Amino acid sequence: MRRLLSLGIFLMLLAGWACTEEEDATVVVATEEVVFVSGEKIRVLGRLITNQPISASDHGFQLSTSEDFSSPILVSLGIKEGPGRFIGETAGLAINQRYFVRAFASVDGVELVGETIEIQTLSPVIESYEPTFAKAGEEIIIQGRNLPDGTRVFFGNQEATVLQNLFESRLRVRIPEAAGEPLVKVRVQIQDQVLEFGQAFEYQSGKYTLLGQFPEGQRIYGNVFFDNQSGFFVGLGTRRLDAGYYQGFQRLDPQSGTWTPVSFPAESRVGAFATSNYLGGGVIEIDREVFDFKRDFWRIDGSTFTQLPNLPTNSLNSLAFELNGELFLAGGEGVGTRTVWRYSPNAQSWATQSPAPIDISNSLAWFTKGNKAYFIASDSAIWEYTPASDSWRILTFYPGSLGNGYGMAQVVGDKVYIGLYRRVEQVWELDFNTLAWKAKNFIPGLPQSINAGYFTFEGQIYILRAPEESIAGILPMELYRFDPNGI
Amino acid sequence: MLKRLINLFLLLPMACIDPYEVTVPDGQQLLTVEGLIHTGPGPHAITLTRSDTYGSVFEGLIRPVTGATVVVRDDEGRITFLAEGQDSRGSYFTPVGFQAEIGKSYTLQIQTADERVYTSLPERVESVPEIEDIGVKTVTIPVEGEIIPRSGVQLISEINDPADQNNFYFWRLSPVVHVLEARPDLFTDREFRTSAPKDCCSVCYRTESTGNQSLFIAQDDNFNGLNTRIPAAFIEDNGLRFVNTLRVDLKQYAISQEAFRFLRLVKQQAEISGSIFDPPPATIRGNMISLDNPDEVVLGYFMAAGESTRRIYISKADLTFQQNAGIIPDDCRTVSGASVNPPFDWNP
Repeated sequence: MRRLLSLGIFLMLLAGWACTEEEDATVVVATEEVVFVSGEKIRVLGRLITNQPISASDHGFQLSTSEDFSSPILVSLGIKEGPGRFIGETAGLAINQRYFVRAFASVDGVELVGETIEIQTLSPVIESYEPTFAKAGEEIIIQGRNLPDGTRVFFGNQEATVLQNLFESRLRVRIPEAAGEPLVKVRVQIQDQVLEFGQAFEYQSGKYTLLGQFPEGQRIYGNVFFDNQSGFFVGLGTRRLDAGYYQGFQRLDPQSGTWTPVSFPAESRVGAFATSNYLGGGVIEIDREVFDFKRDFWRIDGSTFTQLPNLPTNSLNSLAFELNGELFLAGGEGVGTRTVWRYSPNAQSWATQSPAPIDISNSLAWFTKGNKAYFIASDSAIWEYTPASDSWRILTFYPGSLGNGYGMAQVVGDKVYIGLYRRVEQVWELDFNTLAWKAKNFIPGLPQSINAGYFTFEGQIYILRAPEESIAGILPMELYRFDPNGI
Repeated sequence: MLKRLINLFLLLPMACIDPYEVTVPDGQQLLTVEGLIHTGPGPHAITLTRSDTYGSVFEGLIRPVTGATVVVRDDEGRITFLAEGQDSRGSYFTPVGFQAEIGKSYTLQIQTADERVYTSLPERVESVPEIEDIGVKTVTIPVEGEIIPRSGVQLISEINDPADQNNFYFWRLSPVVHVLEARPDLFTDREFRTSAPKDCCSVCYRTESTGNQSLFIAQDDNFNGLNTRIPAAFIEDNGLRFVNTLRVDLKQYAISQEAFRFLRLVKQQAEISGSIFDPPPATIRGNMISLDNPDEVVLGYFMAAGESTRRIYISKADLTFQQNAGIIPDDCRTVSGASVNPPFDWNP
């Protein structure tokens, strides 16, 4: 009986063991959320959920343009030990395209997939760029949306270098060299789609062409220059380092580019004044800071000089300009820095005008336009003088550096080009209609150069540049042609 | 003899007990994100900090995360860059003109100075009903051992809950402005300890941030589609705020279900009182993810919400119980945030 009882207990134990069933591991792959969609990139969250230790030989995401996931794009994240969240990212998708995405995991040779999420990649958008005016080599910032890596930017037909793409919305781009046109369209290419900004980009322009040198390699200082129908005249003054006065003039024919000597029927001098039709004043330096003032006054007719009655005053480094057929002589030593004289050729008489509100000498850049004269004062204010009313007013302010004075100002149509002050290589363009300023390209050559003369011919500015007197070496004066709109 | 030996052997194991040293690992310095963008006028702030070990003694310092690139991106790919505050390092502000748009989804993207990249899950901006009215209720809170209870004003938001959507509400307060009354005539020179009455000034307008004493959130399971009144804020009476008039803007936000869940868990954790019925402390997962390591724990939540706001002026007559008025024996302008000039739009 006892044996039977023991056997019964033993069999019951066996029966209990036999009833223990192994619970199957539940493994679920979930496609949780698409956290990022742009033009060609997506980022998806997935999760491997299980109640057992698990090792997936691969996991990741599948993308396809068809809902049945035929020929899918595989975002493989490799082996995954244990459950948890995973994140996948892929780029290079087509813009504005519908895709289907789902998570997957390969467990024990079985591929498990999550639910399918439908997405639509976005279209790229360009919004703005700045600056809209700059020079090659500088940078612009393009603002937009969904501009993926690999976005290309063109200035006209020139491709630019994309230096940085920040969050697919802000491109930092280096401006390429211009291809001959100052105004170009900026285009952004994303895959096969090309977007173009409405506002054209403007290159900082201004092309300098070295035409040649002043004859005989001479460098002259304290000289005068003027232009008339016969050409461009540069002369008088002294040779470098007190090597004597430069006698007469050299005349440039801007069409042929040839220089021709022109004699002057009087003594050479420094600090004289000259306009297209008149020349006079100046000094001969007898000793250091001791001057012999020259009051002789000449009318210029082409390349010939006719003497007129002497000036009513000494004149050194004065500034002269012609308006309405009359000569105005202003500032400098002798005349007085705020005195303005007016010469009437018909009566051959001189009369003083109302005093100038600024100190004037030939160190100021100046120009005439529309029977008015303009002076860039030492505080950068541009003063307008109206001879008809003998009145002065401030027109605007010069934005550039005045350096050490002696800048250039030349009028081409409705634009005025001001700059090239001593130790300043910069030129600015003033639009006389809008009074807007625009920077032009820097002049090449020796930075320590000064203007020995300048004139305008057929919309282009000719500039004779001389190294500063203290600069040693065989450095002749160079003649440049400046095309304001050239690239 | 044998009995004595057994007793002796019993004593021996007791001498062999070694003390057990508990080694507690240092807390990780986790990125913590706190921010809300909404449909109201900006700037809106996102604050980034690094958590540190918390203990009974000073362990570490919660440090701001500076020098990060923080952007908010909408579901059309439009990016808004946030700028770090000059005076509040670690806080990043949207441009002044930025306002979230209802119906759009936004994600927060962060690139820290050490090149780690984080993103939030998309948060959709839901529309929010207007605050129809704000009710005021005086609340007293007994304090053990004190005769005078704590007290303050509870603001009650009256809303017409829309029936066609599941709404989740969250309320915050703007900085309050209140009339501050002082007694400059009672000023005492501290150096000489003599009375030195001042001529000015006894009345100022003080701006201060009171915060909200708790998290005020609600979901419309019980009042969907109905007009209802819900406690939305509490302003404690400190003896100075309600001596005359106080002004505050109540801001009501429609947040996502996930954000509501997060705030509710935070509220539960914050209001643990030590009872056996308290929920166990736990890390509350937010909606921020590290792209470099999805398993990295990132604390906090980025919220995007619709906002409606309503202004209320509370007079001392509106309170049924007041704290004893505090006395400031000095020029009221010496109190921080106080000015003799009222705000330009002060219109009680």
